[in-house]
Formats: sequence, C-alpha cells, structure tokens
Amino acid sequence: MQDNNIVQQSDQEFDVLVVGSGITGGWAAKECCEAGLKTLLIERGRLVEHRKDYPTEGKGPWQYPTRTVADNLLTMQHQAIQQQCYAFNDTTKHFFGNDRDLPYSTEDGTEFSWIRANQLGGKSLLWARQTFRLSDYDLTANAKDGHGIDWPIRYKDLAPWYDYVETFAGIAAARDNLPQLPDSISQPAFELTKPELDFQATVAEHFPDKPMVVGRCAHLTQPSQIHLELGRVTCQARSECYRGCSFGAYFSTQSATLPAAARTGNLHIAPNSVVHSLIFDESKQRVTGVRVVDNDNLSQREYRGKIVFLCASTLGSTQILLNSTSKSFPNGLANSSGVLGRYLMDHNYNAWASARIPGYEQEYYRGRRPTGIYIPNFHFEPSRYHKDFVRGYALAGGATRGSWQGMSQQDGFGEAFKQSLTQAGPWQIWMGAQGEMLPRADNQVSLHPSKKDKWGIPQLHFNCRWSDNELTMMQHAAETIKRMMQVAGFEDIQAQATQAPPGLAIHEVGSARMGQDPKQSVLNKFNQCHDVPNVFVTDGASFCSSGVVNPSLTFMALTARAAHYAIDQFKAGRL
Amino acid sequence: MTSSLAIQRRSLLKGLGVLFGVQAAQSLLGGNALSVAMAFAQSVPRQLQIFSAEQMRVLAIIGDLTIPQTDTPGALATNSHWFVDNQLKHCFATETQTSAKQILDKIITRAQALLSLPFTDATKQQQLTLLQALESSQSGFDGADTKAFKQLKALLVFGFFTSKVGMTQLLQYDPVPGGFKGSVAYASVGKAYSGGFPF
Repeated sequence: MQDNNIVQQSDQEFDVLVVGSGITGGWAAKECCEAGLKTLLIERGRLVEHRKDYPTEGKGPWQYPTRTVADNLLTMQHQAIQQQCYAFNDTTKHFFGNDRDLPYSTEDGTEFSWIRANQLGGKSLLWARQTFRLSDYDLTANAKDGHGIDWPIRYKDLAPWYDYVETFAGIAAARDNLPQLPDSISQPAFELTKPELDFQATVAEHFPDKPMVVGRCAHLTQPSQIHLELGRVTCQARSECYRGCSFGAYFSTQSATLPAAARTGNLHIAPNSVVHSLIFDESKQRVTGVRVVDNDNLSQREYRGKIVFLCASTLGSTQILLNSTSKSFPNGLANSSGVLGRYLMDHNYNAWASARIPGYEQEYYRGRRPTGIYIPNFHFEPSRYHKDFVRGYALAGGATRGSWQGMSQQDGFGEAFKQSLTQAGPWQIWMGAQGEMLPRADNQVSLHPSKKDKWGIPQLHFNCRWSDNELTMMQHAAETIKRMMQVAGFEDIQAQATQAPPGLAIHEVGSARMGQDPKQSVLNKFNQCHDVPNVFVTDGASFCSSGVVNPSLTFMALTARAAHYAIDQFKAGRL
Repeated sequence: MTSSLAIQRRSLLKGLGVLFGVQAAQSLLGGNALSVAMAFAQSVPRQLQIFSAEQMRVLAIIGDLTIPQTDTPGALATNSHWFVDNQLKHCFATETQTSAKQILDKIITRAQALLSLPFTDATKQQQLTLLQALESSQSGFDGADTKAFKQLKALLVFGFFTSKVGMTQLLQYDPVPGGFKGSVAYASVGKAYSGGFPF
C-alpha cells in the first residue's frame, strides 16, 4: 500500500467510485483499475495493511490474559451483538464493529443480528471462505415455484465469470459432476479423514439422492503464477484465518484484489470515509459523487466520480440508497419500484446434530482443515421438494478427534487424569444445515424515522423473521442428519432444531434485487440501477433468492461481470 | 532443602505475610501446602479478583491434586489457579463466580466437619478422598455441588492446557502444519494436538 494512494480531500473526478472494500469492493476496484479507469476505493473504516496489521496472528493463547476468550464486561458494553458471531474472540475482536457506534432497531417481536466488519478488507478478513456456485436450479427456483421474482440471469451468464474469479481467487475443490452443484475451476481439494470417507460411502449406499462431497473453499493448495506474484502461497492449515493470514493463503481483499488493483497505478483509497448518501443530479438524472462523513472527526466531504459501484455489503448498500433522497427519488435512490429494502434474506442454520464415531483409535490427521464434508441441497427442484416445505438445505460438517476440551469435566485426579487429557479423544462428528430463506416482501429494512447514528445517518430498522416454511425445513433437516448418523452406526447422537433469529449466518442478501421488470426490481441483469444507469450494486443486496450455497463466490462473479459491462459501456461513451 | 530454596521459603513467608497476613502465611506451610505456597510466591504482586485468600489456597490445592507435577510441570507451576480467578472475573457471569466461591466454601466446611481440620491442613490423601466424594456427590455433597465443582475443575484444566507449558510440552504443538493430511497414524503423533486454539 503506497501512501500516495491514500486520499482524503480530493477535487478530482474519478472514473469510478467504489463504496466498500470487502469481497465485492475489492473485485470492483481490481477490474476497473486493470481496465485503466481511475478508481477511488472508499472505505468507512481504518486502513488494514496486509501482514502489518494482523497483530494477533501467530500468538499462542497463553499470550492473552484470558487465553483468547473475550472479556465479558468489555464485550457486553461494546460488542454485545458482534460477540454472537462464531469467529469472535479476543484474537479477532478488532476486526468486528463496535455496536455502540453502529446502532439499529428491530420491529417488536423480531430480532436480527447484524455483524459488522468496518475496515479495509471488510468481512473478507472474517469470512468462512466456503465457495460454491449457484446452479440453474437455484436461478430458476423463483420462476418455478412462484416465490419471489425470476432472476434476470441464468447459469450460462454467470459460468464464465465463476471461471474468471475462481482462477484468480484460488479454490480448493474436487470435481464432483453434480448438476445441483456445478464444479469450480479448482486446485486440489482438501482430504477427508478416514471416518469421513467411510461415512461418505455409507451415505452413498443408503441415501443415493444425497451425495456427500468434500467442501470447497477459497484456499490455495497449489498456487499458480497468478497467486505467487501477489505474494500468496499454499495454505498451511493453521486455522488462524480470522486473524488475517500473512501467507495470503485464503482469498481476501488484502491478499488478492487490493495488491492486484494497486499495481496498476490506478487505485486510490479513501479510508475513514463513511458514505452518507449519493449525490444525484436532477438535470442529468445521474449520480455525480458521494457525500462522506469522516469516521473520526465527523467532518463532511464529497468525492466525485462518473460511475459508482455500491459494494458496501447488502445492508450497507441498501442503507445508502435509502438515504439518498431527491426530488426524483423521495423514497431512496433508484427506488421507483418501491421494493428497495424489501425481500431481505439470510441463510437458516437452525438445525444440527453431533455424535461420537466408535473406533478409528489408530487414525489421526495433521493440520486444521479450512473446510469439511458437504451434502449439497437435495431438494433442488420442485419435483424433489419435501411435501411439507418448498426449497431445501445443504448439510455441512466434519469429523475430528476430541481433546482435553471435551474431557475436562470427566472424573478423576492426579497423574492418570493428567495423562488421559494429553491423549486424543474419541472421534466426534458435527453436521449442520444451511437452509434457503424465501424472499418475502414483509422481510424489510427501512430507515428509522428519527434515530440516527453518530455520523448523522438514519439507522436501519429491521423487520425480518423466519416463515413457517423455514421452521418446518429445519425440523426436517435435524431428522435427516440424525437418520444418516444412525445408519452409519454413530453413538450418542444429539440432534436439534433451534430458532436463532436471522443475521448470524452473515449471508444477508436481497433488499435491492435484480429483475427484468423495473416496476418490481431495483437492478437490471448487470446489477445496474434501472433508474440511474451509472450506479451499480454488486453485493448481496442484488439477490433475488438466497439459494442454499454460501454467497460470496457469487458476489465475486456478479461484481466482475458487472464491472466488465460497466467498463465496456464507459469506454463506448454510454455511461 | 537447598539454600536457594530456603531463601525462597523465607521470602515466600514474607511475601505471603504481606498478602494474607502472617498467620495465614504460616498456616499455608502445613499439610500439603508447601508446593502450593511456592506457586503463590511466583505471583505475590498479583491481586485476587474473585476469591478470598482461603478460597484461593483451596483452589491451588485442587489444581495440584488434579494436574500434579510429573515429568512435566503441573497446574501449580502454570499458575492455573490464578488464571481461574482472573478468568472468572473477566469472562463469566456473576452467578458462575458465586457458584465457584460457594463450592470452595463448602469444601472448607465439609473438611472441617469430616476431618476436624482445615482443608489446607489435611493430608494429600484426605484432600483427595474428599474431592472424590465431591465428584460422586457423596459425604454431604449433592449433584449441584458436583456440577459446580466440575465447572471449576474444567477451568483449571483450561488454564493449564492453554498455558505455554500445557500447549507446547503436554500436547503436540503444531502451529504451522504446512497443509492438511487426512490420515496419519495416531502412534506417529502419540498425543493430542494442542490445536490452533481456538478453532
């Protein structure tokens, strides 16, 4: 990162303003910079420099007074919501937002956990890195069963862009040849353990419609020149990903898109710049820039640009659009349809089971694998729907050997007790569901009529809940996992369906959806606002349905695709 | 006792006197208390967070009985009891803190009733017998006591196995595995990985 790329005040009119520097913002910046466009990447949080700003990486737990467990009192004061995230602890808390600065409200009787990562790189530093393609079954589900509107794109539109982003990002995956889970351009997959391989064989025999594969993730297992020249090398299986990875072994803005953008000489970065709203020119019916409030001193400034990419996260981008009001758009920019803020979705992780796997005492593994076993959605078309619900779910998990953590409450004292805790425990397995959430108009974020945050931006108000379809699906999912484990002969099976509110999958999508019809959607098939052609929204806000798979790979593909469309239009003088 | 240990013992008495009062410091040196007191000596400047001095002495003994020094250091050498005191203060709700104090008090009370001795003055075997009774909800201990004790013991174990000694000497420390192998003979490793804690 060069200091001369850092912008605070600037009168320059950039070709492109990219709002947000996470997975999508990094991609938008990279593509625009590589095409020769002068690009300003606007980030509301602080700079985080690759390697230099990973202060907790490589430290043993004994180097923390509370051994990496976050301090309860401090956490409850500052990060009561953030601490609900599985990746939150004393080694990662600096990459999560401070809830006191980031207030929002929820409709009575509803809850929503909004996880924030406001720094350069955004949630690309904290994501779980599982990467799966959507299939045509996902992209046609709305049209086929009538929930939500049809996606304006099909798999053939996305496939070349999946190829493109996967080649650059680096995906460890097997080639599974499943219609419901199209293969990726991949590097060697991570290995399964012996009990997992046997479970895979059992499931193949007894549940032939539910094939189990190894998970796919954005980790390098066989880096090519593309990766090496950016300083990225093979995954070391340390499991320190959420602290930042100096090996650059997993895809993040810092490891991948940012250095690629920076080396073009076209990248400028405006950190600590909270985008308040977009500046709309009534006469041109175009956006001409963004209004920014300084993250630290609350002073105001503007940045000007010919094209704007909103990559501020699903909820962040929608909040900015809602807060960009004008004579033409009194209810939010590009909101002539009135659907902006509606059809918010997340994934539903509310079913899981765990068990003990007898035997395999002589089996072990080495390293901490960044993925696991995966059973893609097997209700992937209407003819395969369960009679009690529409759409479906995937199952993901893994088997490991227990350790002292699982044995610390067993009876005993003295040398024998001490010795027993140094030994690997029995094999245990965990599998959880990842269910689709239907697009429903009632699931909405809006601007609070009176409450604002410290930057003077109206707070988001959430009204989002699971429907009966999702709750029923989770009951079924828990039963399915349990049945598989029973057939496999596992012991001490614990299965349950829970009712945690939406948000914690951190797969929020929808709220500024794409569509063919401008009366029903905010964005066209190139993630371009129907109403304001020089504004693109390429993050999860654009989704028409949640699908079942982890969405980040699709964020990347949609962004790269939209960026190339915008670049072509720009160079042809049409933007 | 070597001379350096004697000096340590003297300074220990002095230090403990400052911390707990002279009477308490002397009572520490009865029974099974020397090694326990030595552990205090390493950390005299520390402030107790949750526990009273008496509760802390009992907790130190429990740590020593649970994870003793063998050919590798034990819970005392890693100050696991101090860890528990600090961890309860910073990472647990008031109810858990109260429950931890109450079970230590109950151990003290039951020892006095059963042995007519302070727990800290009892022999190692007497202490162990009492704790075994506690783990099996006997000798005046009920299921709730057992549960509270197990929670406290688990914290001692946590403190020990997340210490540098625990992670690097007791377990297979492998901070940079270099990649993932799905099948390795357990015998070739011989003990559990300390893991990239937390996972």
